Amino acid sequence: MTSTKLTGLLLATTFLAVGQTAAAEEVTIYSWREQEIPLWQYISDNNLIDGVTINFVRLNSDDYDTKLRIDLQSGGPDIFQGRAGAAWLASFIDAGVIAPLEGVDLSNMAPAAMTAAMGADGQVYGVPFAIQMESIIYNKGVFAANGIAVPTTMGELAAAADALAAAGVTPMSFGARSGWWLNQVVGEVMTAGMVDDATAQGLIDGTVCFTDPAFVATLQAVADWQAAGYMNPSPMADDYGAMRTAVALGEAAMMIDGVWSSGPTSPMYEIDPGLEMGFMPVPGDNGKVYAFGDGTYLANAASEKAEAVAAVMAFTATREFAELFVAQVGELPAYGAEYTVEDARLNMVANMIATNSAAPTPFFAYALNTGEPSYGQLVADGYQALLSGGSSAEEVAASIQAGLNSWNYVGAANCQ
Amino acid sequence: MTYKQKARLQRLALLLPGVTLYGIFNFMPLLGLLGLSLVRWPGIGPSEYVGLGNFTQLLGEPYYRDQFLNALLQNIYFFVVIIGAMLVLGTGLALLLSFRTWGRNTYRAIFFIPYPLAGAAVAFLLNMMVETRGPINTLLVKGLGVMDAPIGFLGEPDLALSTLAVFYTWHRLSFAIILIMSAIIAVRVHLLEAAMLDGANRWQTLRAVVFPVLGPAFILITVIVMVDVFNNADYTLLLMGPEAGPLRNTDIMGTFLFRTSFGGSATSVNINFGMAAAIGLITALLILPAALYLSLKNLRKD
Repeated sequence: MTSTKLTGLLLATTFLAVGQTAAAEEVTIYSWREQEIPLWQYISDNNLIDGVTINFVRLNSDDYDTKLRIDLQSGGPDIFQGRAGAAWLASFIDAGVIAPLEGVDLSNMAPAAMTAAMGADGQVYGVPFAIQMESIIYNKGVFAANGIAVPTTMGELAAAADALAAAGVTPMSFGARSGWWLNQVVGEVMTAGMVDDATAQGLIDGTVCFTDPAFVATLQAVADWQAAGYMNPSPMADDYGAMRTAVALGEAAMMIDGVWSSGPTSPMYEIDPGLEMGFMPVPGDNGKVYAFGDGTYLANAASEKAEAVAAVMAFTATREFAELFVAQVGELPAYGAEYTVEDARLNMVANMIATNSAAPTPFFAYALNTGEPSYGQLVADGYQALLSGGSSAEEVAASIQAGLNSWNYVGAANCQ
Repeated sequence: MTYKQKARLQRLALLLPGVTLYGIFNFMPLLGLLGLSLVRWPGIGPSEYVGLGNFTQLLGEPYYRDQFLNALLQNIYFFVVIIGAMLVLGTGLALLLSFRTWGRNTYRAIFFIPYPLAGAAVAFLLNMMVETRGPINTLLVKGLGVMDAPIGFLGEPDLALSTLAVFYTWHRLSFAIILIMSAIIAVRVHLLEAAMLDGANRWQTLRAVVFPVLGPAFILITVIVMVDVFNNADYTLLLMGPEAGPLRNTDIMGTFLFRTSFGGSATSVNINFGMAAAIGLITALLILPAALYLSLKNLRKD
């Protein structure tokens, strides 16, 4: 009796399984973003894309490129996430892995995010997925406990730092062991806060040199913070994780970081579940935060499931996806038209991006990153030399310029 | 079948499994490396034949040559620190363990604990020890009060590589102890007795009877460690990343090779498996003579 039941059950399951595979095609997506797991699980479970189930594979961020490249040698995923900017996309375009995007309506995407998806030829290769903001992030509790108002000038920032230091709090936590944080976060946030947009655009175009006083001032500000004792005692010893830990614990008041650290899955809430974070630009003359498209969904041109892949790609450019993205990931989507954000924190971030973000993004500028040593690498090395006391701000600026000149970047003739 | 034929057949049968496995997993990839070193290939898509272009670029262009020399010199330093520490500490501990010291079995167990651990586990464990919030810095700054600020073991350009060498030594020291101890056990007892009867004290006995026997073990350890530290870079890659920070101060051949083939960061644009193969070949050529010389020396002694 029992065995008949079992057989029946087995048969039923088999039919169910067969029925499902016949109806739905499974699309594999590679990503380094842990925070998107619930989003895609939800989309797949609720059958939001007709006839498509999603197999979302999350790989470690550090060796994402390695595993992706190896897997692409034998087919690879149907869709994968790419990092922002033409420099990253270039080798995939050259290899024919990705092609200019067709058949997806991108008219509603935020213009600021589109550079993330653009190749060096100006064509769009994928659907951008998130807009991130980078700024100074401060621990609201620490500011309140020490009676600190949010600084709006560099002088106020120094006064706040003095007060915090006197109270035994590290004013600014630096995790300079992490090179990627130095070039992708610190360099960009300092520039957005202190260098006016026209000059910053000039740095990218090669009409302004990196030895320009405006750029040197960004490096000098960091050196001054260190000299004045506004930083943790050995910034080169701490990495990105240690930096966030110090702010979450309230041992430090501020850090330069991305808004992703305040998202619902941020490990900072594991240290202090009640942590509240505020955002402010580096209060220099430009006084802007930095916003960029975080990356793109890219379709593998060799995928055998072209139709299902196209359906998923098209879905990622819709308002429905944007609202799911806010709800499930807790980050701002790259969607530019009207959509609902209920979360107050995200609303504020969206507002700061819309009204007060710097447009030029040297880190993602193709012209600065096509040769080696790239701008990104020179900035990381430069800040490490600066913070370990090896070089002055002027020397770092000169070495960035010399490094770029060595492969004849766009401004080489102008900046000898 | 004559005896000679049988002997020949037996020799063939004994050699075959080893040669086959070595051929498939070592020799053929090595040949593949030769081919790969002649092309430019980012790991995906078509590759472009460049002849010796990768080698000339590696040794000729300042950008690559500087990285190569820096990685090579640091790798040599890394190796010297590790092998020095392993031989000195290994011999010392092996000798202590070979005396009938009280509790030596307990000591032996303690020394051997790290060895079976995975490299990644050891890397993260020791990283936690030396972090600014870790026990060592807490002790120095808050416990003993001898330091004002925590020491950036892995963050200071001058300290990072030495710290990684200490990690490596801690992990693999018991390997040296095992080999040295087995060599000590092989010392003939009657030689020791004869030395003692001749009136030699403990140090004289060690120097004249025990140390000469340890030579082959030392050479074996040196060769194995040399091949390992010039080809692998697990600690650097896990803890410092492929950019081998701070400021490339922990860069060794393995990280340089990895960075060339897979890129170090989001703005790495020149990803080339061909050049990585060239780096691998040059590394092999550099350590081959030393490894061969030492191994042959060992063979002759036996």
